[in-house]
Amino acid sequence: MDSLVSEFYRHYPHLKQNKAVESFISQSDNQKLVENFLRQPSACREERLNEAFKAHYFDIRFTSYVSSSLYFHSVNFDKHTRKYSERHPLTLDNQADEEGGSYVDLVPDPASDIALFTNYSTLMECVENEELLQAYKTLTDKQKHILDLAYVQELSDTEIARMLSVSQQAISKTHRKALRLLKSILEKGES
Amino acid sequence: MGILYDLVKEAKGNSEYETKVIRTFEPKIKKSLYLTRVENRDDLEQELKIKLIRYVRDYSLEKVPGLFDINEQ
Repeated sequence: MDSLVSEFYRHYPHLKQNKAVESFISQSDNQKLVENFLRQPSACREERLNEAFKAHYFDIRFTSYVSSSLYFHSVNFDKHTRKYSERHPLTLDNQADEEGGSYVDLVPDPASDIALFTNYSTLMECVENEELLQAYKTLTDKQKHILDLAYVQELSDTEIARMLSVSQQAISKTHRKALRLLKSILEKGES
Repeated sequence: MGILYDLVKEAKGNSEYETKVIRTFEPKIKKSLYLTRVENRDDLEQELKIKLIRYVRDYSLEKVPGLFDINEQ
């Protein structure tokens, strides 16, 4: 087969340096075409050889053309979208001050809201008034718990009810009753 | 080799072959998508496919030189 290739190049010396021709002739199907053409040259065989090469050469050219075009187009597309988002930032990404902070940094996080008594979990630890503390101690565990949630954690009756999975009315009732008890104990102490 | 030649040639008359050409270049398109951010990839994919169809329609088959044209150069 090598003799065929060198014979071909002897006839067409200009094709020798060409990479496309080289890869074309290295395929056995094409070698047959070349062989047929060199043995008995005819217009028909020349045409067939030419057509096969055209197809081969087209694939190479088209593939490389499309590949580089797609690459450059992607790069340009990215550049374009970047530029666009830089010039038209979303409201929250807008610059808020000179130091480069954006508005999104200023949005408060409700989860990390620091409550006044986060360090405490029960009223027992917060109440400073001795009489009130004594009164508080006389309440039932359930009443204490509800008051803790309502005044230390600052939850509403509805939220407490959802937490303890009882009705809001029940919580409100216990809540009010506990306050009334505290009040009466304090009044008794004063009198 | 020569498969694309046939596909593009057929695509001039039958747009179904354009789909086949796109499928051939699918890996290349997928790879190109990494050049942009995740949220823009779907847009880019569509853009690239439109581009590819343009190329298939506009690429001239006649301008491809034959073996003996190259020899004469």
